[in-house]
Amino acid sequence: MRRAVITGVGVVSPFGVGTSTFWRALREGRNAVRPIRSFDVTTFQTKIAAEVPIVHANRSWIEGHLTGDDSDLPFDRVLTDAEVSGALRDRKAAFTLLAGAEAWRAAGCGEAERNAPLVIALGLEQALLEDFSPVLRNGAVDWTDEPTLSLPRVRFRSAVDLPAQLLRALFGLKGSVIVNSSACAAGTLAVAQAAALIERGRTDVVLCGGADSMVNPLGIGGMTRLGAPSPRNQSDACRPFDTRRDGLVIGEGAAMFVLEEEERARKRNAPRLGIVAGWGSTQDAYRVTAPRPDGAAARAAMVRAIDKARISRDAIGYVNAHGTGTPLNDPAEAKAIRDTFGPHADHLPVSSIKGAIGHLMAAAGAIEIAASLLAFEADFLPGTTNHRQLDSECPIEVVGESGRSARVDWLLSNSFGFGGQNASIVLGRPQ
Amino acid sequence: MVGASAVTPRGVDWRGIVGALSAAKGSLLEVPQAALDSDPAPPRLYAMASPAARFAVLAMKLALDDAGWSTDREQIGLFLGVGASGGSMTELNNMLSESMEGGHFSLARFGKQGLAACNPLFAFQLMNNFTLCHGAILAGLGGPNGAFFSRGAGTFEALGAAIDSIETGECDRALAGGADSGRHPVTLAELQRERVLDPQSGASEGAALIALIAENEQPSVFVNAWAVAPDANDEELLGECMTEAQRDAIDFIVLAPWGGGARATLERWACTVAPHARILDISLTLGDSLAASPAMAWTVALDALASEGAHRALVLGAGNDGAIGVALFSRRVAS
Repeated sequence: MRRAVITGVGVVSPFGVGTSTFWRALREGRNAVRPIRSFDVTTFQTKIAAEVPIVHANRSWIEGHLTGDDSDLPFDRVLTDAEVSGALRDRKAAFTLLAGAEAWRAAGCGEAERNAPLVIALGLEQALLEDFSPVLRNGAVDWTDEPTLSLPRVRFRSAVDLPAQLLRALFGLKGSVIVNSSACAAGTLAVAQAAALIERGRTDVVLCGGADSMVNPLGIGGMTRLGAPSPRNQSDACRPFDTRRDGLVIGEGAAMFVLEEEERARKRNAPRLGIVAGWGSTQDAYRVTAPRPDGAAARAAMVRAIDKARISRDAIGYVNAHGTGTPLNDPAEAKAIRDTFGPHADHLPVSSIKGAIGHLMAAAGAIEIAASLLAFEADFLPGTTNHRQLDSECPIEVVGESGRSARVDWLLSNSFGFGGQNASIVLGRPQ
Repeated sequence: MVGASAVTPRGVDWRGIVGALSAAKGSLLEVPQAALDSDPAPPRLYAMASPAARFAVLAMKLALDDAGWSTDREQIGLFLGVGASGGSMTELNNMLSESMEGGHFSLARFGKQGLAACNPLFAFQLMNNFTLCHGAILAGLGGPNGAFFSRGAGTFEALGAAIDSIETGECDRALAGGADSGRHPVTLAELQRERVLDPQSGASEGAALIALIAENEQPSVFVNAWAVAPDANDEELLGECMTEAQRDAIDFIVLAPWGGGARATLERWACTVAPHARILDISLTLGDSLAASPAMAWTVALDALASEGAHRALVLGAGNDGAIGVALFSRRVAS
């Protein structure tokens, strides 16, 4: 049976650029939540986020993170085009390029991988509100007299698939481009679909992952209007599974992977970081504004993922939870975990990294898969930053702030999206 | 396939659509309000849903009714091609108006007065996955699912994901389709600025779905093959699907091209694969509704098979990014 293995990882996280930077920070139990710097939040209710530590994610910032190994990639041409079109006005474009390049490099990809499809989870367009001023007349947007040819292509908002277009140009990819737009479940679904393409024999290599940034005025403001973020503008604002939890923190970044058919990876001695063994998705079909409190659909996603991996539930040694730190998500997820694993849940370590890096929305599932790989790379389970007092409504074994050393062979990562889209994925230790 | 739905500028009935489109002159671009009023959504939905989501809600209800799927809906899969965000312009105008200071956008005013001027649920209008979620919630669809951003060809990925989901046993029933509005003012402005609007068709809107079940359930129409290629001229990527298409005679071809360039490419493919087949270009009568167009084309193919005497129908769609999607349907047993 064909299986997909992860042979390359690239990460741009609120801790900075690079997978090693990300993993080191998680191992040290650091927290990346801090006051927003990329725009002036003086009048905004929400003033904190887990930002990638750069004010302007521009060309020089990208070029400052390139290595000699990137010299065979046409960064100069792609970045020139991106500047002309205005593409770099959307922060996630820069994150995607750097994460993609790292994954490509780490997997040792080159000409032989150019036919790979790209399966990527991307969040919403970035609204460029300042562009609307010249066309706002008498209280309404009116494009009638707007000049066209002199304006940059990226105007008013960036295209949803803009980062995918840049990646395709950077690597000269010839395969299909699939953009998953399933909100917070998208990152996990993208990796799952990439693995499915390999399992079903449609391709041997896929570039996949997710990127998002809602750290912009409408992103932060819109989420605040929904009441999703914690009202406390402090670095410990996101407290997954804790009695004091009161909301999420918005994060940003990207995580990209090269997935490869296992035997192909073995033959070319590519790094094998984890097996993508199973996945499942469901829909809560409950409410727009809340998850199903009984966790039944989330549980069904987990069960499907484990069954697909053809392992017993007791074989799962760690759960990377969605764990948003919101009042409603955490108890529903905890109930789903308990109902999935039964007595095994008494000793099954569960953690959420959102206390440290916030909620990366469409990229959340992807970066949490990258975090979970630490379990195989370093026999280390990331901790749950800001978790101090377990809520009795969340009766699971939550890994504390400092993380835990443990050897596990199978793990599960959950991603549950706004609107009720649930996704779970099972990763295995490479043999 | 065991059912379908189409919410188009020409109404909400997919049966007889081949005849209606064949007789039509010129393209209609907007879904008539009367069509939406035929099955009103809950009032609360209108505060939270984009136009595309409202089309999708109606299309899901109609497709489920058409397939007779009234029970066990928590197991039904749902895979949808979706477009860009589509928030209310009234909300946007209110927000921007309150954010102006001295004729310029003021971030400081936006942070307080601008945000306060908009509906708290505005974000739900913007999130394009809600094009899928609103309908799933209202219809109780709890199976595997995915929303795929589509400029046209991406909707074929939704079809592929639905087929994979059935073939691998994740679910035994699924809806696949697309919903979008090219009529949203921001989208329309982008298309005009990029000069990709086709004067022969025009940007339109709508939603369409097909209801899929496993082959062993003996459906009346089969999906024999599907493929997506990022370049419409990439014969290698389309090769397998086209080989399958040429295995037996195709007597009906539905084209859903974005723009004149794509139309010429699709017509070339059509002539190569089945030079004697009847061809219907739906963009000339339904406009181009981006993520929704391919799904509308599938329902046209279904009607051709169900009521026009066609045996094998090919759908060729191309988005404004140059990608092409192909799907082959037949009334015979799938090979």
